Amino acid sequence: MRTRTLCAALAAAAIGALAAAPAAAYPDKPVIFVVPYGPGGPSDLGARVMQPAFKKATGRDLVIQNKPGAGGATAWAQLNALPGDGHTTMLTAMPHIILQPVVNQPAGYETEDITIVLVYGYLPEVLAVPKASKFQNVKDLVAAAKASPGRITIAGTGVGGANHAAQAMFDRAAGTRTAYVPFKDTASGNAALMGAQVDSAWTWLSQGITLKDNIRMLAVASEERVALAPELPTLKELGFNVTSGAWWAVAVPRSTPEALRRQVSQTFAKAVADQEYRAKMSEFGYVTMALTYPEVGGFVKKKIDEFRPVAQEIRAKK
Amino acid sequence: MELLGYAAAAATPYNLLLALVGVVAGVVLGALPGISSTFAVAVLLPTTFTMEPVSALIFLGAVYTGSTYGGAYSAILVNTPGTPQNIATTFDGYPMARRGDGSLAITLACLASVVGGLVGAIALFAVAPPLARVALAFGPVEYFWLAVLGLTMIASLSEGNLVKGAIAGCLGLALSLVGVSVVSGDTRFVFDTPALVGGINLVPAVIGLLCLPVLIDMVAAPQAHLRHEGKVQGYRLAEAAALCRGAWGTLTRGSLIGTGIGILPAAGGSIASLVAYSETRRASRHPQTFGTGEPRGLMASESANNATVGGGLIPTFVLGIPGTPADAVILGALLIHGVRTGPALFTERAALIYTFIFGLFIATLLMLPVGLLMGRYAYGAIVSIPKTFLVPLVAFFTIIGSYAIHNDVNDVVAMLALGVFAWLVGRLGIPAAPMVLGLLLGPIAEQGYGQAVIIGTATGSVWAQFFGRPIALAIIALIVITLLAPPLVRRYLQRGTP
Repeated sequence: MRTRTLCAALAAAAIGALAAAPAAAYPDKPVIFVVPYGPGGPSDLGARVMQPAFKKATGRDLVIQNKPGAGGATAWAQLNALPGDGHTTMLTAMPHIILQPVVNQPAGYETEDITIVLVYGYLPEVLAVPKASKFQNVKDLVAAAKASPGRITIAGTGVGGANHAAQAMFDRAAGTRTAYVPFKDTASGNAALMGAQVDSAWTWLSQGITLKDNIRMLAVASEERVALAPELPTLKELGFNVTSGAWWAVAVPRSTPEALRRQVSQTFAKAVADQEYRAKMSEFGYVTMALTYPEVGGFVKKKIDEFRPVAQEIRAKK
Repeated sequence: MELLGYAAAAATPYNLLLALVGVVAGVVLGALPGISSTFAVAVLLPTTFTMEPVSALIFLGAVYTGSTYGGAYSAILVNTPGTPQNIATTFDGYPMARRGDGSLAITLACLASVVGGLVGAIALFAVAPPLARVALAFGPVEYFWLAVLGLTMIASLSEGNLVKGAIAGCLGLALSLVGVSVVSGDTRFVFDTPALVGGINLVPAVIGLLCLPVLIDMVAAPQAHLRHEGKVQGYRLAEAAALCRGAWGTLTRGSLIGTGIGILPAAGGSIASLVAYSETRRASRHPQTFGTGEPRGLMASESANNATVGGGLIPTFVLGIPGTPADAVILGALLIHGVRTGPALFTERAALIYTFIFGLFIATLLMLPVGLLMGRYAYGAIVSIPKTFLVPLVAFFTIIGSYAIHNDVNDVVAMLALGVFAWLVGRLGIPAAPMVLGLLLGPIAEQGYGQAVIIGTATGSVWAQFFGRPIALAIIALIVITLLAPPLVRRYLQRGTP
């Protein structure tokens, strides 16, 4: 597998150097999908579930390369240095690529450097408390936060990630001031929540469901209620205008020609349309979607308008 | 009676074959520097999609336990931990190999790994749900103190020249600061180089710091890489078994520490083996032999890291929180196979979980013959290959290993730069091992400290966070004992002799 990855990388580099003309039949060799996180995380797992679906849809392998570091920034900063041959792709996530360049200067890239060809998944964020917490609902939590500003701790992954953005948006919507405690990854933040080391946490719907023995979700930050937990209210219906989560997308290096970008977009869209893939993903709490290349621009612009002010707010508070 | 059925289900020819293939693949991948257990398990994960959940788990568990042991080969033979769990194995394993006890060291590592693996698996089998609660009692401040406890090892690793050891430890801590800080979000010491934003990766850095100086010295010195007498000796099994019988305390301590630290989600096998090593040295009546080829140091490290396999699976199964990075991939495998984690797993899915645990026992036991046999060939190959071939071969693997972990050529550059740096400062008597400790433990200490300060400020007392929690106080007591006991004991002993 490793040798194959290497060979594929070398071959991709060689071909990319020669000519990046769209091949008649795309893909005509294994496609590299760089995952900017370590193995075992939600993004990595989603990509690994996609592997058989991609093979079924195209007859070619999807080769995963993990390139973790700085919450994804390490990989995204290197995206445009990769060959634009259509066989080199990268997982990217919003709002992360909108937040990082503002919050973590220098992040090594700008949001506009990332060429997205397909938005393929959405994972809603949830507000959760430990199982034994005295906070039964969002109202309790907000009341406590208002009674003692700065006293309620709320965990999340990293600084300038989606969890941090959700915390900032929620504080603004509720008029509260909570103490954000950043953790290095989702698992350690969740462990701190389960052990009641913190009062509450922003985390993912998938975690909220798998960890339900030890934590209680108070609300979900999606537009509508979610099928996996229909009793869970959305923040919107509770009167807090907060929608957040992670939107996964396939990105290509900027040098990838237009025609090839469309082909990559359609190919991945075909893979994520696979029934088995969709069933598995919805079991985890993910919403499968397929915004293809022509529709991506408008969506990304909307997300930038939503999240850039939040990023500037986080930056100003730092 | 049901348990017998599960044992039988684990011992079907198909599952036995999977356990065997998994252990062999794990040992080979683990022995290659740069291929961590996490990487090995992740790469083989897609091959399990079509298997039954229990077979998939047995296979991945076998790969994990095999790679944790396999990493000892390169640690002992070329001073390069094959996986981060084997860092402490280099401290005494490599000196043993240098003086001609390489085959003994490898056999000892195998026996210690099997003992540790069995203890971890027994804990998983018997007391998983209550032990998992321990993981939750560990908050940021406990991780901070645990990392400080690990850092006190710098003192023991640099006996004789504490100043130089402390300098090395600080260099390692400074290296750990590079990149985006988790708690503050500040980007530090990147000098406008995008490649540094993610920080210095542990695996290539460890390869560079520990292995490159050895390679340079191999070229610079005329004598053979490892001393050995005439023809390659056998396993030296009887000798190793006798050593183990005389050191059951070391093995027990190592295995229990490994199981305990394996349960802690933010710690992992590398810290487990370091703490086990440090505690074994502290308990020893002749601590000065540690670092010069003391078999007990090797046994402590190797029993602890394999015990983290079973220990780390405890929070993975009971809480749904991975105990070690490799467990994150195994947790993913569970999700993909539609298995929900939680305490109910041990009752509602008893067949699955207990069959897997028996499978893990089998894989751990298989490690004995497989490990001994493969270890003999690994040792034979390293001592019989002429240095003119050995050096380029090992150099090749250091480069491939550094590259493969993230497919990033910057990691190779970092490995080479740190390696040359370690060799240069090594000439001044500044050791490399404390640098590795600083790099490994710095982020854990920093994150725990930052989080504890935020939580302490919010709850009204930072002091109560750091000094008002029972587990934290217990770790602080251990730190004090570790630092003060050796000089006090020495003074006491000196008073007795004229």
